[in-house]
Amino acid sequence: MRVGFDIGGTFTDIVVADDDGRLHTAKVLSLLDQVGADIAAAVEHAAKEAPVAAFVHGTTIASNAVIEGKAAPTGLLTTRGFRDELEMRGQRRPNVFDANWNRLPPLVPRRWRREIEERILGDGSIEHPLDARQVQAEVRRLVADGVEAIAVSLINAYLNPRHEAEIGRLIDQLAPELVVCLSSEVHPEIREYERASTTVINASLIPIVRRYLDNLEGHLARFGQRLLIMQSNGGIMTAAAARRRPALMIESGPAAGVLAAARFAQHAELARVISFDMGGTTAKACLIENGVPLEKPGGEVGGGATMTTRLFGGAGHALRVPWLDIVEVGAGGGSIAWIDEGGALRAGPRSAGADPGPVCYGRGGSEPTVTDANVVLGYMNPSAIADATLRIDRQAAFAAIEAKVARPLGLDPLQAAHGIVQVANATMMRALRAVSTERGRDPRQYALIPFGGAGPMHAATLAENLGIRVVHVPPHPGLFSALGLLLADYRHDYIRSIALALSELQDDAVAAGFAALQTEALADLAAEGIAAQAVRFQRQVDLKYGYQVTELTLPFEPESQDSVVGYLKNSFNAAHRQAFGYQRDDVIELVSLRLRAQAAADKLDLAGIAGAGKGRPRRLGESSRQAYFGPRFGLHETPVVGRWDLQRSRSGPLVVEEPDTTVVVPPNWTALSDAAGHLTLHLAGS
Amino acid sequence: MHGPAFDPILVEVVKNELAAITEEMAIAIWKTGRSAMVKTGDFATALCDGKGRLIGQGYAAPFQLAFLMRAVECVVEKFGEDFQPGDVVLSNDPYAGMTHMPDVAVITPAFWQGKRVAFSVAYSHHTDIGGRFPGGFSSQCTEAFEEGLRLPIVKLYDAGKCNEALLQTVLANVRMGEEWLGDVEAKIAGCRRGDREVMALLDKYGPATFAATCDYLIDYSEKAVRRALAEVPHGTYVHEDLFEEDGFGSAGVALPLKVTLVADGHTLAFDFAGTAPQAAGAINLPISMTTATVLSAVKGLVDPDVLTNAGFTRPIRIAVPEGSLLNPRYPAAVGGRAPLFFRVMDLLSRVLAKALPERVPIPGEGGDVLHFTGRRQDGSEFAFLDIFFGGWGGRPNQDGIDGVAPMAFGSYGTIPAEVLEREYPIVVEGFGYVPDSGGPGKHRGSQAIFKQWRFRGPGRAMVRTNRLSRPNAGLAGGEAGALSRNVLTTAKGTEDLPRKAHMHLHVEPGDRLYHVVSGSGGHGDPLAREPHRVLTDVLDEKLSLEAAAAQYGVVIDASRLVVDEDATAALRASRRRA
Repeated sequence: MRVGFDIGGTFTDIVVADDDGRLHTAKVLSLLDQVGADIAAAVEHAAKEAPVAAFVHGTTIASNAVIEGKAAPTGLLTTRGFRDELEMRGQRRPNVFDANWNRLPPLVPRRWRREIEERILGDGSIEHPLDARQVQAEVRRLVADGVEAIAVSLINAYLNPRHEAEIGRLIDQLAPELVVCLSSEVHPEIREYERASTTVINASLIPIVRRYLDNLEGHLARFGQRLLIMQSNGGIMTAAAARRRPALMIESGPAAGVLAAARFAQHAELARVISFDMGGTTAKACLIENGVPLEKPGGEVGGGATMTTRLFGGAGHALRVPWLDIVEVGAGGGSIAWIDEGGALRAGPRSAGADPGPVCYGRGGSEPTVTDANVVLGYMNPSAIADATLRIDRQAAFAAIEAKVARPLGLDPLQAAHGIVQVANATMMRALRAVSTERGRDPRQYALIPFGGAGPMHAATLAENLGIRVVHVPPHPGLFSALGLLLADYRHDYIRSIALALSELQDDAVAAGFAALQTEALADLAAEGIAAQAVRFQRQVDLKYGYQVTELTLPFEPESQDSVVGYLKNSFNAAHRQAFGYQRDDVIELVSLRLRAQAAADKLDLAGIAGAGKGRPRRLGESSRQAYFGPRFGLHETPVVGRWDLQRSRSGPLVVEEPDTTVVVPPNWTALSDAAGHLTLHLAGS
Repeated sequence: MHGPAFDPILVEVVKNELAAITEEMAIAIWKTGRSAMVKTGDFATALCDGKGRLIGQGYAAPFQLAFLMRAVECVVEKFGEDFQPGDVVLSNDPYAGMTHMPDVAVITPAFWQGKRVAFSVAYSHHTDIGGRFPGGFSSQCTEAFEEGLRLPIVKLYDAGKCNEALLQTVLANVRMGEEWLGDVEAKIAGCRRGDREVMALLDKYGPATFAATCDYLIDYSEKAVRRALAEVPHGTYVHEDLFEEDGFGSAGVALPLKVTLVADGHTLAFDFAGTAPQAAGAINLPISMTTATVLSAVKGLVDPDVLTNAGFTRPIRIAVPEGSLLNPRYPAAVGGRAPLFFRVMDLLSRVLAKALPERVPIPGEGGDVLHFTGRRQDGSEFAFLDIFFGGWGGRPNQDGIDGVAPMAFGSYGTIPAEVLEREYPIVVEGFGYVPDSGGPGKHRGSQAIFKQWRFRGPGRAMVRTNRLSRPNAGLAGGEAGALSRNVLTTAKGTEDLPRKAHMHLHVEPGDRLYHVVSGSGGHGDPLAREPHRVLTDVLDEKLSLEAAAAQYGVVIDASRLVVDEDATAALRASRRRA
């Protein structure tokens, strides 16, 4: 038996897969003081006697600790003159129009950012040696102030780790109990702020994550010993590895959802899809090609929705670890509708969240939200959702939309509700465009995979706006992230700086560099109990024209007869031409080598998941209700059906109700479910 | 199709789509641009409708949008209907919407089914534009002819065909021609991206709805501005300042700047009568930039998402005496207009603060620049540019922000030291806060920011510095931030450099330049600042014990590092009596 559990801001989703492939699911409120106990109770309930082979966990513990300033007290040692870069963050800000913006507090207060007399130059040579006595004095001071961890990040240490290693030894001698992270080990990549920020985030999370995992393992030990953690890159690692590299866990939950979509796409043989995850406050999109989600080499923590910041950032703390390239915007079911100074209708970024929540939940919310609009439009069940556990008050939603949106704009309440959904869709479109057109992909060649509680409700309309003609609604869309946990492989990523023009590159330097990374990877995976022959490697290189500010990351797969330099030159020129339309006869620099090591874990078989076990959606007796589809299609008496009622294609309008989500099929779409419960929506005429 | 009625939903949807397009344009430019200026973010993108009216707000600061708006009008005035698919128009004319010659705009018309429906616009600051001084933004020129090559709205491509004669002429006149051309190519790639995406919008909405939506977007901005202006108390507000720079760093210069603001509930009228006549040096602000600065200041009063466009400007009146510092006559030199731009931004904030004291912050300081050119050991040319910022001044309800691009700027950032040290013969020896330098106030202004460079090769350097002799003042009882400084260390010793806005130097290997961008003013009475905030600044070594007492009247026990409540109360009481 394997157990996946995803702890989100509001709910904890639990999926238990027994050895016969049956699924048991549960959704419980996330209460931080009960982490572990609630999982244990759910596992107990699902299968009393069977041992659990592995727990796979997605969690927001790491991102919450950074965002809420609850990471461990941490010191930073850096080169003289540079301690304020961690706070200034390149002097950027995320929104050029907002004079009320406030920067997140620094990860380390200035008093604990200490400067060391030393200097390494831009070619890696040491200009000014380290003064051990000064280092010791600064370390003693930090220890006296009560730090639990020290990050060391020196200028140009990505090229020469010697000073950092010496400082690491000095700290170990003085204070062996302290957590120490060196930038040359955590992330040896050029750009001092990003590297320091990454190192600090990792150091400051280690004490927190250790305590958290100790507690969790204590609760789960009686069921099984193996606890695995989802990383931002969509791979899993052991709890022991997570204790060393907690910075890899930041985007744990969202990555699991994307991974589920990727596995689903592989299984259904969909070469090009966009995943679309819509929750209460944000919506997230990711591009998936041939079953592989697009990745980015880093991101920001704590910046909120990334849309206005994706050019230069500045909203959050930089974190350079491989992430699935998920674009997030501030629009979700809880987004509040309002009218701005110019008289335009807006939705979000303010959200009613789970508390008080939308007006229709009847828990004190008074401002109309996107969810209220969906209820008024007849898309969501007007009396109860979530397997009848959450009561819905349509009249209250209607009254709020009428008073706060319709009347001020001189619109009919149905039109106003439709407007709210359209405006929220416009924001979500920006996320979908960001992962497609902005990355040079034509969305019309892609299918959409919506999930999250609200995703399947908006999917068809969003798809049509982008020219997408097919939407695949996977099984268990409301628990998709927890499901994704049980579908992941082990994965670790490694980087090594080269920073040489191709003309200066020794022919064997690349092979030697990759060999060193491979040795490191095999040692790490062996510690996780994975045999060397089970490991698959992928090699990549970061290249740029000498003058450029950003690199392109390309696969490194030369034929044996190729000269390495010639291969790198040709593949970079070709990639640049494809990305930007031209190439230049210019100096090309090899910036870094990247190695990805993966090994298969026991995984769920996706075939038949939808129909298996208790999670099988019940067949609804057909009913109907009035639903409004905008001025184009108007008001329709709309059949309400279950997924299993769609084994023959039916035309919209339809509302498909499931325990954990609602799917809206507009009048110009059709819906069809196969025997496994794979529901597909098609735009009519396609 | 849609009639002329305002559609509150469509306007929001299309606004979002246009914003996404202009962001995509910006990303294409940033990733492919060649020069340090593009890397640091000194560029902007926008979209205009077929009539040349701004409709898409992308990656741009309000002032950038405001002058681009005028620059595209000038393009349409010049060419009328004479646009073909494949045209690429260049302009850097400070007397036709642009603001100094190193800023070169690329404008491309977009066609849908043979009809002109839009213009894509991108400008960036080039490393050079020819002329007497490398960089083209020295204040020491006295006529436009010295400042570089003026491109008076010309087609680089005509119906897809490159004007080779023009290109060769440009490349024969600018330094670092390869880099110049690389940046232009990046902007063309960005505009082509914009053209394609606009055509896709037309496919979706059709020309009638698209045109109607452009009208809505313009009306919508007007409504938003009028609603905001209705909240400005009626009255006449005046603010005056003195500008200490004539372009040559002459001693004792004090040029009057004056603005009179009249608010009547419907319009805001800004009159700059009383401002000094234009200067001989290149510090003048061309009218396009003065207008853009005013619109940028008004933008601060309106919802951040409201677009600066033709509708936005309708309720705003701007009068600037011809031949003045803020509306010079051709061929006055304007290349070094940035310091005056910062000062006028500050002037406008302070006059608006008189009308709306609860809302308007001190915008803050920055935009200092080191420009360094020469040859590497291998003989190759380089042009290094480092731009960096002070921070935000105190705000009515909260502190300013230390070390961030000022409010009036776009989303600029600084280039990492490690990147600079790989590409240029330079070592960065530090970049951070100067203690005791933030303007004291209930809400403290940003600290001063220092940066120190060591030159590893010989070359020509120019450092642009604001606030060398007149500090950034406080507001509402707050006090000024510390002054800017330049200190040069050579084999001969260490000296404070003269207080010139644009300082030209020959540097030798091993020379060091220590530069400080001034602190920003504080907001509100420093004696009203909560003592625990003062203590936090002391613990963080942003404030010394002495400055805590002198600036804030807060006494901190030096051994226990806690606030001495009694001594603080006594000190503050005696200060208030004094």
